[in-house]
Amino acid sequence: MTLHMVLLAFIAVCALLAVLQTDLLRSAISLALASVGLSVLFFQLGVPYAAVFELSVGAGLIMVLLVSAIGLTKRTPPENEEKGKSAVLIIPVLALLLLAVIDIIVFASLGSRILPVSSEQAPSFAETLWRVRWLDVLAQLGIVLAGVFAVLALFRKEGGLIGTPRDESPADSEETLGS
Amino acid sequence: MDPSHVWLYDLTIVAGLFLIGLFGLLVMRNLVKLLISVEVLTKGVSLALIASGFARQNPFVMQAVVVTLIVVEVTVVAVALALIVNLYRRTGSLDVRRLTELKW
Repeated sequence: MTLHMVLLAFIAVCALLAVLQTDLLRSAISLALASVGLSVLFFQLGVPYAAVFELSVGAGLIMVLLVSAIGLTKRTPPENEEKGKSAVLIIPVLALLLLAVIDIIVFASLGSRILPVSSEQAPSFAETLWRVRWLDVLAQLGIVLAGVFAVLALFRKEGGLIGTPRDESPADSEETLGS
Repeated sequence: MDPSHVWLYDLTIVAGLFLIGLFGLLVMRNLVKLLISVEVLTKGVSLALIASGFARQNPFVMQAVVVTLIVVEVTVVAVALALIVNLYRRTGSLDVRRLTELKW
């Protein structure tokens, strides 16, 4: 119970830091830490497959993608991007504190009034994924293929692999050919 | 409170993650920051799905849905980052206020 609360607080703080940090790299690291906290929470709750996916893909792969994109773009100075909103930065902190107060008051008064759910024998995760949610697996395959083709289309060079790069003007190419 | 109802506390953090993500989407101007805000929203959705699975005492279905959600999430991030890098090469900035080419 205590570990659960600590993990929830850790996730909230890391998510808050991910949004409020001015440095993009620190934001990405905070987001990865929030993912790590979420995966540990999933392990603690007894959903290990979701935890492994969250840790490897959510924390690892997305972190690598974000750092690559930050490396490909130049860091903008914070004073140009983050000017004029220091007063509103306190809003999410206040909202979280308000939610914590509501949590303590309302949920503690609920007690055991929440209805129990039928305790039928639930199928295993593998059976659920491959027999009940098989359409989701097919959809995942389609989505991953669509994503791969979209990234390839976005990064393709005009004229194929040996063609001119996008930012090279046609006039330059003609001059090069003429000489 | 009954320890089996600990998922109720998860819902509080789900609401908190939603608030943080929405705040980032509304206030931030950097494209990568906007994507990170979307990611925070997605973490909230993952936690909400697992909490709802525990509320129904059948977490395996929700676990399968969360695995699907994570795959969709990483695809969205890859395509969005490719778009962001392309936009940066065109405009030289990550500021959303400079993306006015489609504006009348």
